[in-house]
Amino acid sequence: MNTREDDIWKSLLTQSAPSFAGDLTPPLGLAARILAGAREERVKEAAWERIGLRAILASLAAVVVMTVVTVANVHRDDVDVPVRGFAALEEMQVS
Amino acid sequence: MDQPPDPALLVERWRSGDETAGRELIDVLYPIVVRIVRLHLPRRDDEADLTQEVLMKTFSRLHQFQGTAPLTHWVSRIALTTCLDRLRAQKVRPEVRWSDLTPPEAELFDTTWLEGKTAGPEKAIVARDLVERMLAVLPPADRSLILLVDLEGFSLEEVSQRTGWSLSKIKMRLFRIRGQLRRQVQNWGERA
Repeated sequence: MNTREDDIWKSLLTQSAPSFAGDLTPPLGLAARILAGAREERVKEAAWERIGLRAILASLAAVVVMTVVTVANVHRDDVDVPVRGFAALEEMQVS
Repeated sequence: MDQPPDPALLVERWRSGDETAGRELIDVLYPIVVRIVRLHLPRRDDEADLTQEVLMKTFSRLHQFQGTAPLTHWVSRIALTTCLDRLRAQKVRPEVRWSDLTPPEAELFDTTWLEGKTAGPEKAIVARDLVERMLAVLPPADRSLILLVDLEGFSLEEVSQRTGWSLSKIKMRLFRIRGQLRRQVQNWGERA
């Protein structure tokens, strides 16, 4: 239910309404500033994307190198097995 | 007569690098943003700065716009949250006394309270200052809510869509706000 106080509030608000009306066209230079800002941000984003991509590629390359090294070591270990086997044979004491 | 450009199409063109679409988008969004800023920001704050800030934010997030809601709603939400962030830094006054009013504000209140008259548009700024004084006792979100409902004429559902607040929260807040405004008018009226 509306009280007299509610009506006064509504009346004051109605009287103030024209002052809330906004401008229809942006002030001179605003569009240029915003678009320049957006362009700058795009350039920054692109740069970060490039840095990110490079970091991913570098990590990928590191993983590949590590894999190759590990595989190579495993193969070398395989070759070493009989040799180590002979060495072990020599050290073996036959009773 | 020229049809107003479709904002969603302008966004698409802007994303594909069309600078002209960016300018057209600013022309479409500017009146919406400046209206919200003016509505939710106290009159003495820097409206131009905040409008620019909102438009900057909008353009920097434009790649996130999914198109599930109208662009104007999406931008309104950015504008509203930016205004509320700015307002949060301001202190809420416990009460505004009659002696705080300037003579033109006191005169306008008396005319409305005692004589039930409505002043012409030439008094709109004074009326707004008076409204601002009444709103100064409310937290920023409450201030925005009452203006969305009473001045913009949004339904509670529309307010919910634009703010993300639940209907029950909105109703509860409105009930409390109306009580506060009533008390404020009553205090001034009993003095007048």
